[in-house]
Amino acid sequence: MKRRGELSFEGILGVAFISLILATILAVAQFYKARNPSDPENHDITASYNIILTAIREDAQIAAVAEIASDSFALYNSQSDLISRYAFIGGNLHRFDKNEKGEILLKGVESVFFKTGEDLPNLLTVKIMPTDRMDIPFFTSFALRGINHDLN
Amino acid sequence: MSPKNRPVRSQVRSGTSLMELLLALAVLSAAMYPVVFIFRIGNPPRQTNQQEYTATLLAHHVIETIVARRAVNPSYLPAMSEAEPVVESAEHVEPVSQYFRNISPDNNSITEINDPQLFWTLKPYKCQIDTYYLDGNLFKAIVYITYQREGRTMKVFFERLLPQKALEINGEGEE
Repeated sequence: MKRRGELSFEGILGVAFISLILATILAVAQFYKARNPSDPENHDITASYNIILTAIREDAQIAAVAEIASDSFALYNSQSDLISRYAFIGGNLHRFDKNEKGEILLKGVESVFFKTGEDLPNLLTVKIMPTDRMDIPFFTSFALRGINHDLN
Repeated sequence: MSPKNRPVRSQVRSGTSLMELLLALAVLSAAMYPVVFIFRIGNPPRQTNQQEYTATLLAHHVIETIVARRAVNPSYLPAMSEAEPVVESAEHVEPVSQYFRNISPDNNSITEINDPQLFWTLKPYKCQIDTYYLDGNLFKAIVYITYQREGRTMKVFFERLLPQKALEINGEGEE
């Protein structure tokens, strides 16, 4: 008897197998994107925050003084040499090294706030509010360890 | 084929189609489980990560504040505290944790008025400090940031060992 319009058992298995293969490929692609913070379509903001956290932590290890402006701050070592400067320009957070070579650390920033304490001038507090209100803000502090290397 | 056999054959064909349909549903349902599982491990839940990440940033803030205070006053040791809120809210009976009392631009606690977005982000979190004196003139501070997720209390903690040399020299106690 000629069968028409119906899937055979092998056909069903084939569809299931192809679905699995496609799902695996999509999942691997998604996994790769989640771990590639430079991908502009990657919306996991914590990966970008990790870059900011690492950069400021490294600079704070040798920084002794933080000079705060409204939308930027600069870190200096104990010899008053510039270590780096972070600035909020055009909706992006930039980092400039001592040679003023810049890089964008985070895109889609709504506002930033930097401060050092009145009683703790060696504590730099950083707040970054992302444009996307569904994303968490970045809020933490960094001790400037360049004053006292025993703290490391 | 005789006309008598036609209805019988039609009934047999109909039964086979239903069985095939059920079989197809069973196989595809079974195939869906690994598909859903693969998608689950491929796409970690965003909100869970972000809650945990915020707690990590807050714990980092507390540890760095302790480090900065010790740079100013080497005899400073953090005091033990219960779980205290990190923002000021009418719902909280406990005082705001001392590490979060002057973090707003006007050197006050974060409130719903002075920074609504940060207030609602940080409202679920509490900060607790545990301290221990250890052998070898060491002092251990453990910072717990706790928050609720699906009815369970979740904790992120950082710990730091602090030498007590300055404490012995100056004869000063815990603040």
